[in-house]
Amino acid sequence: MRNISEKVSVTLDSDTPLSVTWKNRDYKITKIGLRHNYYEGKTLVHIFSVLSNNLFMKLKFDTKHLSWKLLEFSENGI
Amino acid sequence: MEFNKNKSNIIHLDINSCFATIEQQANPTLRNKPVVVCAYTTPTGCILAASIDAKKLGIKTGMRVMDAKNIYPKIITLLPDPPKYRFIHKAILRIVKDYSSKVIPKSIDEFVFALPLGTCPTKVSKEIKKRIKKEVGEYITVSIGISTNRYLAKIASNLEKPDGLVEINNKNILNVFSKMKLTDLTGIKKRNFSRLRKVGIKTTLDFYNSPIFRLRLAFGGVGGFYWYRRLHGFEIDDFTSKKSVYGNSYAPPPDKANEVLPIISKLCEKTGFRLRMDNLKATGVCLALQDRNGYFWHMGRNLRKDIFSTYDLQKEIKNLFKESPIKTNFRNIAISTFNFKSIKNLQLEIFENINRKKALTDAIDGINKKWGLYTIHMGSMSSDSKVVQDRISFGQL
Repeated sequence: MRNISEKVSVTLDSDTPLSVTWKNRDYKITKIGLRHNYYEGKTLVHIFSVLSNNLFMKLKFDTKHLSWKLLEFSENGI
Repeated sequence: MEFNKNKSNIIHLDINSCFATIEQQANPTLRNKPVVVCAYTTPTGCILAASIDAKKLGIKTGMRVMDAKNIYPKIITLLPDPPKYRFIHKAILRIVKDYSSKVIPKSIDEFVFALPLGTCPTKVSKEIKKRIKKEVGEYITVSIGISTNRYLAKIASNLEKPDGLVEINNKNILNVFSKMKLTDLTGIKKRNFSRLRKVGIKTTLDFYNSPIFRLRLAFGGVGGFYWYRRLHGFEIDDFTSKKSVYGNSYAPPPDKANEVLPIISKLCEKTGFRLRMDNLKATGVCLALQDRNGYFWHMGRNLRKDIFSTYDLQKEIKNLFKESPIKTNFRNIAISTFNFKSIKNLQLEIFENINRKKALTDAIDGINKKWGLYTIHMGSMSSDSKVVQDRISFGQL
């Protein structure tokens, strides 16, 4: 598992992420494991734990700045 | 006395392998694999939760990471993610509240609630299980225990794991107790076990069938009476005790074992904030320290004045620290406050403007509430978020 904090762009269908673009590469989201949210101060952030085939990604959406970040990624749980 | 003949309406719900299962829900590549959530992933880190597959290999909560790796070298170790666990806790709480107006979260992974009379507890439990799978996560399983009181409902929830649904009632109580050891009962461990042995109680059935005078001999007057009622399905644990202590503790990792003052400072920030959020001030403080050789020291003090600000709390805790014989290599650092009064009644002081101090504290709390705790903090506190990380405590919320 690697912890990073890099800006990414995410394509949505309504409020469901469909694909992630990271380092000029598109990753199609195949499954959403969990979607949770919490407050950082008064800013609501949404965390999406998603799979793109065997690649796990943890995405953060900041509702104040309307920006997406990739927080973690791992392949097959490693 | 016979077993309570009322219909069972108390439900105890327990999330199976809570933290580990939630991590497996979030990351499907971890499912059906031995996974542990631990305080630290270093060899001496303590395991907080083991997945169902890890438990099958003999890995348990409380073990060290190195012991788990001795059992299964490829075990996946994860650090806790408290916001995720709090979110799931709230999601399940919302579901349970649809069935009962009296829900008590006993801890992050346990809920107890009473159903209205006339409702079928088994039907409701099955429905709750289905809704958790559909609305919270398909990998999350819960064990549900049903009985006439909270104690037996908890025992029932432990009988079948994972994904269990067991009722203890007047028809099966003897059968259930005949298969259990005394120490399988919640609240009966080493010391209570030896108390029972001394009065000739050797099995769970002996315990259940004992007359009240024998239990009074074992536990003392009212203690024996409570155990008697509890085992016979009558409710005696339906009370809420007033909070008598506010505090926080932290077990630093080895590389931070000597950073005691920044840790104390951060614990004071956290405790002071919680105290003020409940509109309280304290007149007592306590510091407890344990080093890595196992030495333990603690000291409490009643103060001459009430305190509510982080600065005063920290000053008093640091005064206690001066008395401590343990100065380095800490395993655990805990601070607490006691003897509470309402913060609304401030005692004016001769040499200090207490109203100004209160206004300043309120302003800082307002900023921290808006932008996140520790946005404004004491200079002595390390701003490194790794000094005292966000943790979820075991036990009552």
